[in-house]
Amino acid sequence: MAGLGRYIVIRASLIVPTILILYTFVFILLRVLPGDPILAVVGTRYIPPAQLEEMRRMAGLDKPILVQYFDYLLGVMLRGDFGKTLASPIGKPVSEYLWERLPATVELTIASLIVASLIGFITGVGGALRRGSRLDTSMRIYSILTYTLFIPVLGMGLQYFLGLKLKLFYVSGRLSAGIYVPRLTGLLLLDSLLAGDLNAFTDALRHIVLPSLTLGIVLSGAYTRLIRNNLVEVLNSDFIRAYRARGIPGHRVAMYAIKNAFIPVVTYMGLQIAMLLGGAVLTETTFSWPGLGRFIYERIEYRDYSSIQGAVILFAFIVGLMNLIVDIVYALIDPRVKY
Amino acid sequence: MSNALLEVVNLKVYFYTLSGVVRAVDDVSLSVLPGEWIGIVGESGSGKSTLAYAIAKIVPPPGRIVGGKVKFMNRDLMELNEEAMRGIRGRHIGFVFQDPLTSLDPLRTVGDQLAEVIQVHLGVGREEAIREAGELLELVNIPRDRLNYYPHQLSGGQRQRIVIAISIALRPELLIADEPTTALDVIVQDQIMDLLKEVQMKGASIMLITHDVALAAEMANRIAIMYAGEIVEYGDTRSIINAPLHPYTAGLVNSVPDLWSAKTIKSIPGFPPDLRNPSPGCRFHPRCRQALSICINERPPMTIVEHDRCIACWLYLKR
Repeated sequence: MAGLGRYIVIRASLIVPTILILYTFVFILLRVLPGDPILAVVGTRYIPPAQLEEMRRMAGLDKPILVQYFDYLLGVMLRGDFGKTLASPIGKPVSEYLWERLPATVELTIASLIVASLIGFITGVGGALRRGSRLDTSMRIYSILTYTLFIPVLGMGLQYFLGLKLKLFYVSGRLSAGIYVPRLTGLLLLDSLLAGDLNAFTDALRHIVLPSLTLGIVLSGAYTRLIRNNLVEVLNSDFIRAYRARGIPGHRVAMYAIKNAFIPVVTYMGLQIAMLLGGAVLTETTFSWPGLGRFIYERIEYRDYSSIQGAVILFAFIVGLMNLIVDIVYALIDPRVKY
Repeated sequence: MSNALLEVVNLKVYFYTLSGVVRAVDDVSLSVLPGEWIGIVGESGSGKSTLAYAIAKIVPPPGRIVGGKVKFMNRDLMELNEEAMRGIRGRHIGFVFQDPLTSLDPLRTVGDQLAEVIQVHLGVGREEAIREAGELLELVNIPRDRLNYYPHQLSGGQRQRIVIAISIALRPELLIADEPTTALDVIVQDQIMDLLKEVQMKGASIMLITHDVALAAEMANRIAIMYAGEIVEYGDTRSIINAPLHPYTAGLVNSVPDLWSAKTIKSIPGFPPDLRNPSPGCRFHPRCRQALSICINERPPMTIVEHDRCIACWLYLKR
């Protein structure tokens, strides 16, 4: 078990460079964009140049760029200080917003991942077991089609049909007005259940269905392909033929085949977390979902450097953490992984 | 011949591929007696593995058994459904495949895989199955504590011995070994062959499928030579090796290098035919130096030339 501990430490330390690279990238990108937080707040109003300089000084934007870079980075790394917002409402700790928005994104991504893997599993396994059939062909076409889907387009389509026409689900937000769920984990579905409030749970569920379905469908195609191709390969492998030659019942052989086919899928899930969070930005925007992705989107307009940097660092941290979890799961299910 | 353990009569296995029907096994007949060691010798693509799969009815798609009969322990296997066949595979017919590196599930311990076959067929509890699995490991000279090992932690030779342990776990009457040592080095090959010999001593019949004439000659008491989906000659090992009759058999025997003589190895010129569209005559005639005009158009029937020695070649048929 000491080996596993070392493995975890090594994998965990890989999170640091991930964060550094992403932070650096976003820092430069923000400075290259035209405008700055002060101009974004001021807009077209006339402010004397001296006053503008004073505002810049207060926001710390007059310092040399490298000083700004390290000030923020060290603040986050050493003190967990994500800075203060530079746009209205000005001067509030960014961490407060991040803390408030994070659970919404976590809830959405988990729900989307469940949708994506469920669809991927059913279509992928179905296609592989009936290889070459009409079902298989349609599943493969489906998986290619999902690559061409644009999240806002699919999202609006679902909003229109399932939301506005059939009125099955809500088209925006996380919760209806007037419903309150005490915050424990911040995940509304979980918190409402813990509070025993079935009404709130149903309401939260009817809000999350469309966004998670949108993001889930877009991500599912990759799973369909991956699961199908892996399973086809495993089903043709020697040890599956050997199982059959030993008279092992078919349902058992199928189970062993699926287990073997899933190892690359777990790896892929880890790699996909980044894509998932990227998709979350678009999904949250389409569905007015009050998560981190929408927060970034809102703050870009204000050139709110510290908020955007903070949110990106948090994203990078989540991606790193999820990859770490996937690596650990991978090591636990595949005996061939050495640690 | 009703005392034969296995009787294959006019078996035909075709593969229905997009580019045509491949006649992988075409009209093959042979029998295996209880306790004997039979070698099926042929080059790659001659249909010898397909023949083995067909006996247990595990021909992979798009292959299908299209004709013939397989009688095993006085039962017609073609009549049995999948459920009944499962009771025969592993229980009465054991299989050892070519590549020991890939014929074990990489995600399960060898003990699990060994115990499973005992549990499935005998319906015993897990504890008893594991205990028996340990005994089987010792039987194939692997320490009992290797039960908890995963396949990747064992060497190729050990893995093949475990595969053999699994295939003999239920003392099957017939053990089909499909190129069991091709992926292993010669020292390990010897050990595996010794192990198979022991299995035979305990009463099982062994069907060794190989491309290696020398190996078959060393181990088997009877040999069947396959070429392009057909058996061209079979008989007892000594007469086949010492006096091969069929030109293809002669070619095979002469292509074995001999350490003690300076004779050069003679290869057989040409390539095996395309089995999607075989010639109506003898399938070997394009490569045969002694081909007659009849060989081009008429297929030579399998004929007994002497006691228990059969050959399908026009050279030895009285017309």
